[in-house]
Amino acid sequence: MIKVEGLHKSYGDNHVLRGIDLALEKNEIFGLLGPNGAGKTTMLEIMEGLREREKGHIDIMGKTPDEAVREGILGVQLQSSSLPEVMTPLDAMTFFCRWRQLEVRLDLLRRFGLERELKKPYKHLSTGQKRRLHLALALAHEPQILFLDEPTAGLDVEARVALHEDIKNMKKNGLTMVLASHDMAEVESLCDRVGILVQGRIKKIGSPRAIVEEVAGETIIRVKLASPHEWPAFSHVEPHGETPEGHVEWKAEDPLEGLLELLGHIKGNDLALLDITLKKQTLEERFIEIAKEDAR
Amino acid sequence: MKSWLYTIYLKTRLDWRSSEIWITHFLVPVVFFFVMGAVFTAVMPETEATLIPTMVIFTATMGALIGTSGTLLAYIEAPTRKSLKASGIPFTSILLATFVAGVVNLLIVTFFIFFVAPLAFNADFPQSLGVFFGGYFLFLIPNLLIGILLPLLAKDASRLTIISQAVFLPSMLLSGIMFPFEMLPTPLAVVGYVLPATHGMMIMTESSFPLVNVLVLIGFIPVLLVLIGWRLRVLLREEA
Repeated sequence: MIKVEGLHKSYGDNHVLRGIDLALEKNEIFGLLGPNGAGKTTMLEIMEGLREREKGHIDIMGKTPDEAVREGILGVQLQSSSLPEVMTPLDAMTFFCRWRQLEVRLDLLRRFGLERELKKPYKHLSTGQKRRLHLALALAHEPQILFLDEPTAGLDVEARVALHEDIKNMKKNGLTMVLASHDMAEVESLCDRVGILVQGRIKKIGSPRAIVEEVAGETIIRVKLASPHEWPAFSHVEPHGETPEGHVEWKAEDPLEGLLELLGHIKGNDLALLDITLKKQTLEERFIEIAKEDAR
Repeated sequence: MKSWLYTIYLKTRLDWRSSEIWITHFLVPVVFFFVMGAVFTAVMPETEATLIPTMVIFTATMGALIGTSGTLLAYIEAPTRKSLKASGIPFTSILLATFVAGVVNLLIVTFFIFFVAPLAFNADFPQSLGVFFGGYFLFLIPNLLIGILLPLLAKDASRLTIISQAVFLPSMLLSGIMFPFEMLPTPLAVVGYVLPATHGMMIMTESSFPLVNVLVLIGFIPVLLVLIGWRLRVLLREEA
């Protein structure tokens, strides 16, 4: 559905994108993760036809990004969208629909809870209402692909949950989505696949689960004893550090073998065990690790 | 075509909701007209002959350089401009709508002054209606184009205020609407001569079209259109 090959972009000496390759399937939600300055917004804006690329090729259902925007294939909710202060949601929807030769989509304004704000000036809408308005405008022409750049930034918990529901429903309706976010939990719960963008390159790509499970052997076992202890070397676990709360952390390839080995040692030496926990890496921890690896 | 017409209609309606437009296109020009009209005609009764062109030029200059430029800035700022572009709305439609909305708003106040000045201040009607309104439009077009160019140059509100005032104040002081143009020292007269308001005033107070002033005003139009096109391209390239 979307194919990106060898995408490069620089601002002067700053190489923001250094050869991005990506292929998106129909009806998937693809999450783009990355630290600040990684190039997420630049990459999205090039795919949305808002920025020019330096090198590389983008194919959106056989069209260039500009053609895809013109032909209404793309819907775009920008990270920082705005409208004139005195424009109302009704004006905006009418305006956007006129340019697409469509009937005014009041149903979308209702669906996104803006029916009471139809004639409220943009400057008096809350952040959540503005976000929902821009999402409604992006969907007015029933695009096949929707780009969402930090869709829940600045939203309260209730609005965030509501928007997540909307995103899930849009997927059920067959929409393909590209979502850039800082919110790992959001990406983990919504996206079919995730690309981790670090310093202009996609360092990892796969399902959130696959990216986390890539380090499945690295289950962390945390042990807290009643008194300090000199631990020997083990064959199934290796030291991973200590927490400020006094837990000793072990990294285990096979969590069951590691756990049995540690418990055997504790029992064999008659040690007083206060706490023992197993912990898998979250996508967030994996993401931080990948970003750190790259910085090194 | 319908989309372009709707954009013009919407921009005009949005302008009427904007306090900035009410102040700069309607309120200040009308208050200025009543206060200064009373002062001018009381202190110098001969100004009755030029009161209508003077007030109309003040209105159009203030409206275009301060009001129109200010409302356009909201569309030029990146978040709005990108939102429009991402939705397939050409920015040129906003520029055209801004121009037409400016003409509509300023014509309303112009007609108000045109009909009220003779009643309120015994002001003389122009010697030739054709020359007056012909000169008015020849002056209004480049004037509004300058109002469109300024926010494209400034790109933010603080810079726009400075640039707008840098064009507005000379237009007021050096165009002949406050002091007779002939009395200005040569360097100031030279500056005044490159302002549309000066030529507008010269045409609108005559009974036939002065060729040089007409040609100068017509000459402004392609130059300003080229500058607007250039600034728009620069703006879009910087962003890309």
